[in-house]
Amino acid sequence: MAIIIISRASYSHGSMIAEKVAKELGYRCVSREVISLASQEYGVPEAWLKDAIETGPSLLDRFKYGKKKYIAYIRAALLEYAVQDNLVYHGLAGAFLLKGIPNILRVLVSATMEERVKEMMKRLNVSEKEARKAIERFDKERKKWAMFFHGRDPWDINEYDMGVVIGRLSVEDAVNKILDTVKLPSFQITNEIRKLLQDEYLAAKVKSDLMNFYSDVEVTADNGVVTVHLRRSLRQQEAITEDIREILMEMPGVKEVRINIIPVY
Amino acid sequence: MQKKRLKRKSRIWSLVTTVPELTILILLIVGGYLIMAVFSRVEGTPVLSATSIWLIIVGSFLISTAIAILAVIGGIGGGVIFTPIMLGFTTLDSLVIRATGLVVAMFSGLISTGPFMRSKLANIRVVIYCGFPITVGAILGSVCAIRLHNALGVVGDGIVRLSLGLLMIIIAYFLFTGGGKTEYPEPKKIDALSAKLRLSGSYWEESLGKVVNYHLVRALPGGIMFIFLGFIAGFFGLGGGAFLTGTLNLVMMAPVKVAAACSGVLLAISNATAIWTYITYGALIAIFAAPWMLGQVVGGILGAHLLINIRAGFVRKVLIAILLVSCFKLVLKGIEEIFGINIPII
Repeated sequence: MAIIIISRASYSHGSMIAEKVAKELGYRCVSREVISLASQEYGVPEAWLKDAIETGPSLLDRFKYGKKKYIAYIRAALLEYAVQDNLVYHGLAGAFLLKGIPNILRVLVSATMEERVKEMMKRLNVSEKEARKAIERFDKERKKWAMFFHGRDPWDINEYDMGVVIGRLSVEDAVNKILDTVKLPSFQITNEIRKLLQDEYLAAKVKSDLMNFYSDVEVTADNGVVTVHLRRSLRQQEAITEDIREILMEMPGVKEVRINIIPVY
Repeated sequence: MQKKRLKRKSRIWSLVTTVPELTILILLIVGGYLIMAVFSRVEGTPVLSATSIWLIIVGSFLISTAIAILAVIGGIGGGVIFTPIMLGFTTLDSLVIRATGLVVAMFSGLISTGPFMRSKLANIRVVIYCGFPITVGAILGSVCAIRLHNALGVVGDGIVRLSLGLLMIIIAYFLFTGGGKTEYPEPKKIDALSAKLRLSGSYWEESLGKVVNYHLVRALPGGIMFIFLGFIAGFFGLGGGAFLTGTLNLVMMAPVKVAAACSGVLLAISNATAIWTYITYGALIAIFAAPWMLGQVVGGILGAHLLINIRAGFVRKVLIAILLVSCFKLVLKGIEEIFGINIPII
């Protein structure tokens, strides 16, 4: 009973490791499926969602909420898988998307530059110079993305529970290391964590829905009681409360809606 | 989702039915001005033609409504937008602008007083305690404004513009950073004066699902600050709601919602007091102030009920940018008036 999130650098054998871990444990292994689910549920083309999670924000993105909305959709989809437990997710931003939820094993899979370049040259049939340049660009883009949306460096090992570097470790050793770690009590999904995941999932779903109307909304949930946090003038409290209750009235799982208007001054 | 959007489009109609006072007010305004147009002869002056006077009235009402809507969305007072723009970009007499600025700020505070009092967010005891020093400060400020105007004339106006320009930079910074507010401050120790005055209260916090109890502290330094803030309001014709909320929240440790609600009421009280000095001096011109006042009421109600989905943060940044441009213009104009020079910048 565990959830493993593998954040992988490009061409670091991360997906192979994730699939092997999932196979050993008999868990479901997902990656692109999360984007497909978000695309189906929220009616947004997969390419847009992929772009939102893969590329850093442009100058224009810094002034609008489009990418933030798509990331909220992806988070809701990932949580939909997570509440089902026994999951291995490998992708670019899993650790950040499920940040704050305890007992989830967060793994950073990287590889030495030589190993990554070699892998890219093999897969795409490009020169060493081209491969090195492309990898450096991916890493830079990844850092830009994480710094903007989460204020964290994705290559900082402190953001993860463990890190493996392919090239120094073999793929098999890395898989074994993850399998050993996930058995520890600190990474078991207890009933308490299961409830927390349910709450986070409900909050993420509500946030995704509300972001169509209130782009800067934040949502928390506790046992079906949803609290919507917005920074607005106190004078708009009555109208906003009525509006949000109307939007969330028929949403499954929502028992009560509370609105927290944080006054701006 | 589409169904939800369609439902939301009927918001304007629901506003007509749920806020009947708005409909009545708009009808009265239109009716009143129509009667004026038909029965009263508006004569032109050597400076302004009759058409120009009508244009000023209608234009002022529309601009005031727009400012009030933006102010509610952005969480910024109407006066803090009106006064710097008018002082910076028009050649109207500075006392007339400041008197009208007080009307604008007063009404933007007044329309929220009722709901805040009813919801018990505004604490009557806190309002009464802070109301005294702010009133004293506001009267002092307005008297000083008129004395300075009489004593120094254009140079006095220059000093006002320059100092307001510099003050607005601080206000813009404060508005931009949000003042470092804390939602539920927890005072470590309640001082004797605050305890004696029983500056405490409670309100139902829906988001927490419980009653929030609070006790204000630092009654004396808070009171002194309110004299100063009242002076600024009366002298410059501003509301200064952001400063009032900041003082209540950060100095006197009121929860941010209580601070925002109390500051709306205090704004109305201080400006209503300061305005009398301007009225007795003849600086409040009814035909100019009335459309601004009405625009604040109509725009305030519209802003509170419509356009609630607009990103407040974005509107706020736009307003702050406008304020900064006004600061620049105020400083330039102030220097020009003080030193009698012409700075060749737009």
